[in-house]
Amino acid sequence: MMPAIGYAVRRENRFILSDPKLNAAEITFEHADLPLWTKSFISGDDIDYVAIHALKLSVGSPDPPGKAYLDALKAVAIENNATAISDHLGFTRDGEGGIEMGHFAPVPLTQPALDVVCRNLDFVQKYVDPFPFYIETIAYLFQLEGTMSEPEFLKKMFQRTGVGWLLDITNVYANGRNFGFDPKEFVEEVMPYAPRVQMHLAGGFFDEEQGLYFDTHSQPIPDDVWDLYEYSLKLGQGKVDAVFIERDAEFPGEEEWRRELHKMYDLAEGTSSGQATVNS
Amino acid sequence: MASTEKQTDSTSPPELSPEAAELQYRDMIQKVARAIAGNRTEDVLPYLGKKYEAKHVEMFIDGNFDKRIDVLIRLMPFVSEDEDFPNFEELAVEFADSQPVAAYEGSSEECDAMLKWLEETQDLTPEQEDTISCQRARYEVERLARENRGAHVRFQELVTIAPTLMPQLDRGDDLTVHLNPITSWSCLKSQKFLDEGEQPPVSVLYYADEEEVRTAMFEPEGQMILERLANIQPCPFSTWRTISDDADAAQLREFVKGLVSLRLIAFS
Repeated sequence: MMPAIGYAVRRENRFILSDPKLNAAEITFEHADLPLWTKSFISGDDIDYVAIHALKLSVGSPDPPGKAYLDALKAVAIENNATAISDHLGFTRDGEGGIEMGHFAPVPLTQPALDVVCRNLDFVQKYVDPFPFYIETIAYLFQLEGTMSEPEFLKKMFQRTGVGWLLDITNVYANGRNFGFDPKEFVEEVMPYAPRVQMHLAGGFFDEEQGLYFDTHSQPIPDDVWDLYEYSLKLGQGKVDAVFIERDAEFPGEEEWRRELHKMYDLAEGTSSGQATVNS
Repeated sequence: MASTEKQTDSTSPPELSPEAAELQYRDMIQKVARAIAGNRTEDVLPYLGKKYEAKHVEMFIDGNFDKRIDVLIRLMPFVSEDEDFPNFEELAVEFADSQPVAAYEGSSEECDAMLKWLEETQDLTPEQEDTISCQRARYEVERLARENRGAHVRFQELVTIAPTLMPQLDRGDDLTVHLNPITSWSCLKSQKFLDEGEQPPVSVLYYADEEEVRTAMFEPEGQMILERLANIQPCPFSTWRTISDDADAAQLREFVKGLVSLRLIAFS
């Protein structure tokens, strides 16, 4: 099965929605929640697969996601004829009466966290039905003390909830490079348990001073990430629904936008037809 | 990757009930979230995994704070780009430092909270007050459009044919009048946004026009006629005329022509 191929839509890459090799688009919910617009965010383009990507469900928080946010999310999904909805595995707030932190922090890899995450994922999936929901594994700068490995946490989460996996290839690459594990082994261990998969690809940079790779969505996708993408496609063959490139800064020219899209397409086509390698 | 979940030894604490474990989890998330939001790295350290150091938490906190300031600057353009607020970024930092965002609040609530904070903590000039009032009215228009999306979209469709229906009103046909449902009144106290010859205070109507927020200024009589229409619309033109006893039919038709050109009323 060939996954749907596309970009996370930004103002700077809207022109590429008409590229013949693109049949998917991911919309960041916060970008598409435009109350004054009278047309849908994606309109006039022939897109087979539209995913709505949210930022603030905070499934790691002890209280359930806010209904107002979920209602608005679902409304944007309906208006844009979406295929699926996604958000991140993390927490952005504590609980009712508490505070928002802004960005998502990683959940501790513990049994109580797993119970809370699964309860919230069940709630979200029921709420956004019939849209299938995917959860993205994030890049982190730190983790809280845990009692299990990340793959173990994810395997149990997929088994208990049936949620889809938004595998951000660059996040896994960054975490592996920064904190000393093999990204391929990570994907190998988790992939069999994910019932369905979306993927993200992006490029960041290595900060020599900090000794860390930052997934800034601002650079071309590095070769190691392409390699991990191809490897993950093979492992996930038959259940990868869509793959998206994210770019949020230092936007390239048209040629570069198309080059990365076509490479993503060619590698997916090569994998689904059984070819081992594809030239860049 | 080996699981560490079932590792136990003689120093392991006794196993908690699921309820007690969740309470403990809730307490930990609360402490960590508040420490991160309050820029207190040291309060996160007791919960940090063994591989990680204070510098990792600091980088996360700094990145988070910078993103919050970026959002305030980006989503408050009327204030952040205004020449009367040359130190907006400093004010945003002061606000973000002192005012946490309440759980479940989004960016628009946070921007609203910053407007309120500016009013409560800064000694504002009338010009600055007008800037804040404009920004707030724009948020109100967006809030109304979000809550009444169907009405907004229907009116925007209807308003496109208003100019073609206007001649029927001149012929005496009794058309139904619809007022733009996404409007918010405010009052300007300074000369800042007024044309020459206009004297503050002036009532300003903010309203949705396709994807933009537009403004229109009215004399007190005009505002009264519009407010009466808002209470009874959609209604036949004749009904509106009956209750607009300050204006005769010809005057009202002229007024209506102006409202059609502003895309504030439509007909069916």
